Amino acid sequence: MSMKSILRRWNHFWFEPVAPDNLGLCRIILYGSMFLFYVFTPWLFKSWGWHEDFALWGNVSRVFWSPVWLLATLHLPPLPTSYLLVIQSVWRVALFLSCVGLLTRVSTAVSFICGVYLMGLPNSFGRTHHLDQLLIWAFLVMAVSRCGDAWSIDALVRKARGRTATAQQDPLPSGEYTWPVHLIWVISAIIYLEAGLSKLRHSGMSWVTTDMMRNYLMRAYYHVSDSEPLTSWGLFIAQSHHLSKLFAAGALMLEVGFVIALFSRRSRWVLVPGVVAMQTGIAALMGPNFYQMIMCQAMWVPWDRVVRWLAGRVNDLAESGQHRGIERAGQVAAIPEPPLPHTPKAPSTR
Amino acid sequence: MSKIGPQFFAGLLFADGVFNRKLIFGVCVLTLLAVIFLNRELRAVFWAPSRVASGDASTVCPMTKGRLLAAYAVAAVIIGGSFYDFAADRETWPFSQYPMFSFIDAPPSGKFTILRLYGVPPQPSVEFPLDRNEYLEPFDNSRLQNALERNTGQQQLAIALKDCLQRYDALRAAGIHQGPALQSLRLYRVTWTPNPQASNLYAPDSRKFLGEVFETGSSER
Repeated sequence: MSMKSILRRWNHFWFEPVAPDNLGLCRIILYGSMFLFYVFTPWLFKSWGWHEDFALWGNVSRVFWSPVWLLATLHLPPLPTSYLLVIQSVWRVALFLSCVGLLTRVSTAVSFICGVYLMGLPNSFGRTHHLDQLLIWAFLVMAVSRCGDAWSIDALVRKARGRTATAQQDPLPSGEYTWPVHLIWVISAIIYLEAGLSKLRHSGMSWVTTDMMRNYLMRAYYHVSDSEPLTSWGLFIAQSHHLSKLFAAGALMLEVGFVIALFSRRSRWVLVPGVVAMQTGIAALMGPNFYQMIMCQAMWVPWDRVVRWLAGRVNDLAESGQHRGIERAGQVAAIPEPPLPHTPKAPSTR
Repeated sequence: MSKIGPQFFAGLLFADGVFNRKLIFGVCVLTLLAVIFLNRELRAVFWAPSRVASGDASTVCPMTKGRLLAAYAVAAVIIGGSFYDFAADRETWPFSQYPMFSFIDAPPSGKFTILRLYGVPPQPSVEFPLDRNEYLEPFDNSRLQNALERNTGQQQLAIALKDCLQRYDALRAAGIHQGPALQSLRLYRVTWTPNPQASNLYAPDSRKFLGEVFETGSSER
């Protein structure tokens, strides 16, 4: 295969012209799910939801402050609670506006900038967790993309204000609407690949062949994690050395093999639900939850096709309903009307 | 340019001992870009998304060159940063090599050691582990032990433990947890050999006292 043909394929992957619908729908799903997640989990899930309330870090002693690289490089300090409350509120509003697509360029940029600071904050107190990096990159990609061109209030306003017929039309298919979604796929695949390769680099195949997974599963029940395991099944699995190794092998294969999903459409049907199941399994068996990463996997779904399919189903149902209604009306018309009881003619008052 | 092949890149990578890694990484990237931009055909393919085929003019909107470069710049920063961190085996958040659960840091028995805080209520003065995440939120058990590990120096430890005790009291007063009032807070280094029933959760193999802080403000070690 020549360099030129590789580049052609490369261009097709990144910049194949498509309609703006899928990107617009991905925007709604990404920001909408994160808005709901960050606003409601502190209220709905008291045992771990406080993780998503960043304002709490405002009153932690600076003795624990050990800023992550980006915050250290930008000399960003931990702010007091009152400031954090304001930033968090602005961020949540920006997430909502990004979801509905109002002032999309500004709101997506604010979502990214505030998100970086807020999510960097907990990671600067003791330990870096890896549950929100994919989300941060997705926010950056969306902020640079033209994700507000469809399925947004901005698009409706633009159409309403458009004076020419061209301005009132939907945007033409473009490579602009392909690369953001595919870049999120690539970042997702890199994260899993690096996680898998890190295991091989630091532990080799011993990660699978020794009791590594069994030890992690047992250890999780000694209250060492950021969240408690959702079930006690981890201890059940840890009773069997073979079962633990099987889980380790499965996890490693999924992580290293996930990159195949970029090239094979068929494999996506297995690999994407596979990593979602793996991360749900980690929450159930070991505690750490990766809900943000799980939600980002929704970007693999071709939402424009899903919506088209749903719209088709609704149309079919409506049409069949109409058809049935016409048939019923026809049947009703065919039934001879019962003779009316004889009523004497009212006497004329004239 | 056709003479530059895989051997060249391999040579650059093995020059690790001589040159700075950042320099090698940068040189590799620049060389790749040079290969693309010095070849006219490859250059044409590179800019193809910003051009439109004659038949597609009314059905496809090409990207501008600026937007194309912006897309590549974003991708290069994210992907390049991730690969660089992986190559250097370091973590510069939000970039990372994603090392979670990677290390075999326990003997075959699975024995492990962590720092754990214990609360001492006034009556009865029997200490209990502060192992529920609600006791010291926004810290969780995972973050707290790392944060404490960095503060085991005498002066810092007293400040850190005092902060934890105040946090416990404040959360208790706010009704976040129903733990008893405390007269002091102790820090131990605790070791367990885990078992598949977690039956020794409250009977660890060993505990080493590291420090204590009292409600009155005094501390000892």
